Amino acid sequence: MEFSNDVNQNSMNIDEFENVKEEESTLPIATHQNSQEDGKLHIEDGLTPEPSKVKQEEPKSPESSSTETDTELQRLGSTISKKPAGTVTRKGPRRTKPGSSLNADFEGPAYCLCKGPDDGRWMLGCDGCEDWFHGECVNIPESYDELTVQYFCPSCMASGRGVTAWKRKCRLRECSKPAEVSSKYCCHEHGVLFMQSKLKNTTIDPSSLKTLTMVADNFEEFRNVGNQAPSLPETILPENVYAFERSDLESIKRNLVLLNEKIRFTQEKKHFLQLIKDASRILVQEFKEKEGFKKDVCGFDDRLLINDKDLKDLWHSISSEVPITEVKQLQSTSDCVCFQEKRRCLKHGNWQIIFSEDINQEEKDLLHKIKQMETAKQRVIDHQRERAILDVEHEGHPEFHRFQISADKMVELLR
Amino acid sequence: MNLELVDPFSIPDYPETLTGSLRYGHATSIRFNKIGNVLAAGLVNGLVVVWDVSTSSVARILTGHTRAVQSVCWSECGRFLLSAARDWKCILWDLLDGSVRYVLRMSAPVWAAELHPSNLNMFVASILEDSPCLVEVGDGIPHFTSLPSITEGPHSLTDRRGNSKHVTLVCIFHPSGKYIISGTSKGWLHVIEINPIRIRSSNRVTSQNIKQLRLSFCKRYLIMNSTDRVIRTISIQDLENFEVEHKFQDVVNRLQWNSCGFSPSGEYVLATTYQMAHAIYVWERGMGSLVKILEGPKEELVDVDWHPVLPCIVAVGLDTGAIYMWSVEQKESWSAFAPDFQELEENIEYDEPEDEFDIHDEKNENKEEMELTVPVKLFYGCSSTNAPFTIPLNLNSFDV
Repeated sequence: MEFSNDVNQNSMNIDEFENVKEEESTLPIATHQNSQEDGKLHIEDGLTPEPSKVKQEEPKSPESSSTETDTELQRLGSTISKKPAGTVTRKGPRRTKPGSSLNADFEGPAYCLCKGPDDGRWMLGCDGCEDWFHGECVNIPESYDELTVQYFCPSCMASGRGVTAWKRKCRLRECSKPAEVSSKYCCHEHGVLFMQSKLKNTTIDPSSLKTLTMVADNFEEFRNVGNQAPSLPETILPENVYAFERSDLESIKRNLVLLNEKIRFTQEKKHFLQLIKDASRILVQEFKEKEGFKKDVCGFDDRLLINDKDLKDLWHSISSEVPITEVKQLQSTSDCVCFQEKRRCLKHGNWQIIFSEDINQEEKDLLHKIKQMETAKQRVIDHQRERAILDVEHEGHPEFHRFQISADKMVELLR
Repeated sequence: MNLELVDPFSIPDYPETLTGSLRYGHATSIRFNKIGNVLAAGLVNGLVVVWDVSTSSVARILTGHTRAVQSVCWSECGRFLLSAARDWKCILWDLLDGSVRYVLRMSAPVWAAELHPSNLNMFVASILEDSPCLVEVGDGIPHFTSLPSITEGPHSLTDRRGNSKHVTLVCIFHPSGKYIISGTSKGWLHVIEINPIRIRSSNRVTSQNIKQLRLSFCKRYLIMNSTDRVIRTISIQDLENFEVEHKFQDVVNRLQWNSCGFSPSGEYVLATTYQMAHAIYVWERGMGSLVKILEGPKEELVDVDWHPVLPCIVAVGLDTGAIYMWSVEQKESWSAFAPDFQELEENIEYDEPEDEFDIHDEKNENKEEMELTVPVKLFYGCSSTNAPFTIPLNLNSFDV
């Protein structure tokens, strides 16, 4: 009956362990074991005092300690809190009991659940009933030796005298030492080892990880890192702009202005052509009716032959206030129009189509050139931005800094 | 092909075999530039393609025309190219960057345009159904002047009743640049002064249309193709009186000729046939005899040109627009490279003598060399100050 209870109690104890349900590891922490063995060696001398008893610096009654520790237990169990001074750190490994000897197998007081003697196995001392329990009997591995703050045997736990309290174990799997105060590791090296083992399974490469650590100043910022999409710095620092780039950009801007002007002009020409076509159609219609012509007439207007330079003057003469694109209709006099029969007029054959295609071709060429200019400009700006970002990233890392060295200085450095 | 390896005595004067063709679009007219490293071709869709001859590949494609390009003409320096097309426009291209120097709209589709020998801003254009036009671009403003076709008084070119008009069909510049030689539909050759425009002299050479006029490389002769199926070579030394030197014709078949040209040396004359026979006839000018008929393509050939240096003839096919090339296969003669080179029939195993690689006493050797040195005068530069223009390599742009 007791045993079964004990078993339950034991399992409860185990549940309280933090991350623990582990068997004793195959990688013993060397220093610890040695000390254990050293302890065992001391046994033969029989001189070692009971360390546990000695450690009772501020002894408290189990009851009072238990009430204190009840509240502390929560803290100890869940957070990495400082071990309050004054609590009983009494625990196990009692090597010897005064007056015992190894020869006395079945003599001596009976300890533990098994009522067996103290035969040198690792034992825990219960803070409730002051009894000693073999580690194997209460299912607590010896490696937890340093981690116990208070131990209550299964019966004390059952009777409610107290609950076993543990220290936080070092996060490194193989290590059984307690973690340092305000830390998850027993020592700095274990912290490093743990993180390295974590990195082995991730896909982040070391340099990206380093950048990640540098990206934010505190934890809050770090949490907010992924909230927004990264954006390129808007302003480009002047030192990132090389002199030739500046002049390049300026010439590109100038060209763009010119090209846009040309496109506007081409569009005006397009409109003008349309006006002429309409006017010509009307004239041809009138002519046909007047002369009684059955066949189609050419209708080519000589004004289309005017070169670009004079074209603006012509437009001005047609409509001085309004730009040509606003003009809806054009007056056409018959003297500048060709009234040859369309079929016979080889000279002006298909003039409408030829002129339209011409204007379209011009427009297409100009648009293509504008696009080329824009891509060139974009390329220059992107290069500048890249350099701006690199400078920010490499801030504080002098090995990345570009600096302008004159040739002589370079020679000096290399000498 | 390494020119140093060519045996200078074995280069034939004219090519014999069809060696290849250049195909990009449908070409209508072709011209080599003055040194012969590039070939300009005008296509039916308005593109002007510049071919690199040594690699037989496209060097530049110039866009601007919307209709078929009727003629291409190089400037003397080889940097500028004037193209005339059926879209009524003449464009002068600058091949340094592929840009347009000027675009001029004529009053009708242009048959041919030719640049002034020394002035880039002047050219003469032959226009469909209209009198040819001398164009001068001064400060971006073009001046057009029509050229007269007949000596007597003001003439009317438009004839509603459809009688055959006396119009000028072809114009070329006289090599001096001061005159224009024009050929009319009645077989007259006029010499027209430029400043002021007036006909200086006229010669009636034939009775039918003069279709084509081209100058020889030495610039002293003119070759004329007319509809009376005769190719005439005319000396233009005397401006008043043009002498017909030779008449070439195909007596057997009475073939019409499409286009004609000279060889660079002036020794040979070539012409392409119209319609039936798809060949190029080559005559020798000394005797006036036919020396070669170049065959190959199964289509009519329209425009022909002879390379200014090599024995290479190119002609444009009418149906496919491919540019066919006839040339000679050069055998590399390595013995011509250095005096002690020998051509071997088979490999010879050479056992070097003992003292082959010995380091000889240098002092003695130098003494000998000094005795042999001969003072040599070096000429730097020549009369033409500029190196010939070559189209620059354009690696950045993705469109050729």
